[in-house]
Amino acid sequence: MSVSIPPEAAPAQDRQQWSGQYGFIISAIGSAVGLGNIWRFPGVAYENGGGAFMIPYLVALVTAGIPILFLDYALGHRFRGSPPLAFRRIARWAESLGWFQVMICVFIGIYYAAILAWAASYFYFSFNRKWGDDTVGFLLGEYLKTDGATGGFQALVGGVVGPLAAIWVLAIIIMALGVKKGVERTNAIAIPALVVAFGILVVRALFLPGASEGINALFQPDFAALSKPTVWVAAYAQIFFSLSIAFGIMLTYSSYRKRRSNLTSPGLVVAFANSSFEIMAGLGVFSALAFMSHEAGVPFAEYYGPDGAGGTIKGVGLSFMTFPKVINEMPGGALFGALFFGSLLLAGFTSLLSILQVISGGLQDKFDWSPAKAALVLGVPMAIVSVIGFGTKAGLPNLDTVDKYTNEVGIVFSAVVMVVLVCWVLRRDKELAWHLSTLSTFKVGWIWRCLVGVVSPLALGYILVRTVIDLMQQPYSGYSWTLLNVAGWGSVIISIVAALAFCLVKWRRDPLDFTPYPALDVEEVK
Amino acid sequence: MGVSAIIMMVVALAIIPGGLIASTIFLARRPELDGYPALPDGVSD
Repeated sequence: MSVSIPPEAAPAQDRQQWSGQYGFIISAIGSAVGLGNIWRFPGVAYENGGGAFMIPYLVALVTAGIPILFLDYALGHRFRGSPPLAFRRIARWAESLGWFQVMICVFIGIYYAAILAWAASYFYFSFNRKWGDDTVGFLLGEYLKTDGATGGFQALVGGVVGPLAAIWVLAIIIMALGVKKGVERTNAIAIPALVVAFGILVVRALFLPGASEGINALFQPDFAALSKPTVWVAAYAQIFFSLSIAFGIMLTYSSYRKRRSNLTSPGLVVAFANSSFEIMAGLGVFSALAFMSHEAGVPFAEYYGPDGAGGTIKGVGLSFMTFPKVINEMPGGALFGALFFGSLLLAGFTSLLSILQVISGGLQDKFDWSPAKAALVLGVPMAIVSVIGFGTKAGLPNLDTVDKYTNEVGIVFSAVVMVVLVCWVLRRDKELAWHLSTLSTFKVGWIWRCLVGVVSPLALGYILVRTVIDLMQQPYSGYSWTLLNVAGWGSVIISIVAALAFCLVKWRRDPLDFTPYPALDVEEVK
Repeated sequence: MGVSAIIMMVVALAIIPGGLIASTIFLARRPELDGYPALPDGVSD
């Protein structure tokens, strides 16, 4: 194997840093633990074999989630840059992949903030249960004022625009403070607060009448489901989307670590912390859902089945339609609601910061800007687009469409290209394994290289092809082809075009002006 | 709750939060700074 060594040149550029290992770990956990942990995992597990889903879930965690997480860490730490800079330091033409990851973060950031705005509103509504008995009608009618809107540009909705603007102002201020004073300090407060708030919620839910029926529904194994490819695909997708991997976040975060840093062991802590939160969410959410079916005197599976009265148990529907019903019925519902929507807000906001840090880091590296300037230049236009696109009557279908395509096409595409590029085209996997093992207490070798280079691209490639075929054969969620083509495929195509265009812009500092550490021992890596 | 559901829940709790505890303990065994390769001249952490 040939290993090219980046040219050693002037002393390293000044780069922002975490205050230490704890700051990095708490921020990485803040990024990984997001809305998906609370509103996606429990429903996915229930629909894909219940307790038996834990088997493909753990297999996916070990064979794809943790290996790609380590790859992100190695790339960011060895090449000390946001995705564009890190990939530029590996190969000139690879810079475009970095900008593609930045653009994916742009699209995710603009709709993710809108969901946080909804959560902030519902946090406030929960104190007097403003949604009333018709929670679906309240969300779509009184709050989002959809009026049957099917996408595109529509009139602004004041109740959404207000909290959305507040979310953006807060995010811009925190980003402007930089990695240590802004992102790290926020996570240091928000993540312990999240664990306490959600922990109280879970304990309360576990003591609700009928809670055991929900836990039974979540963990009752259907081993026959393991023979279905869809279950394995769901497990790989859940792990992949949950860990914030392969679209620049973990890569960017690890680039702010000190040179002499343990990389893999903190990665294990982050990965298991993320999954632990998912298990905790499963217990809490399903206990609360079972309380409703118990009160109705209907078995859980029937109550939340296709013809049941329970409503949806995943995503926006779970959080903003089904859960308010639970809050209406349970004793102490106002506090329970505040804990639930407060947890969504904390989990989502720390993830939003990590998404924005990828963009900010890319701009800082390329244009040599300060964190404050990057925060303003990225934050203000993104806030405007966020309001225009998702603070309107058509916010829900727009959001659902962009979310589907950027996540399930954009991120998975980014992951497949990244592992193929690093492991097969540029053949840097051996160098990165050596980098991880030289600095870390948990060593990696050929097994990691095999998982990253073979298992991950096969699993993710299959998911990508399957998703693209599905999206081309039938309109997602019954939306119009115009909306899907413009907002869905449009977001992916704009990301590709913008990624190529950014590569044409000149770097303000020589991107190759850095000293790799540890210096590569070519003999050892052979 | 069914026995099989309890078993799967215990297994999940043992492996995942157990993995978090184990990895946190393992993290404490981090190398001393002296154990790292020397920093190049003019390069700080």
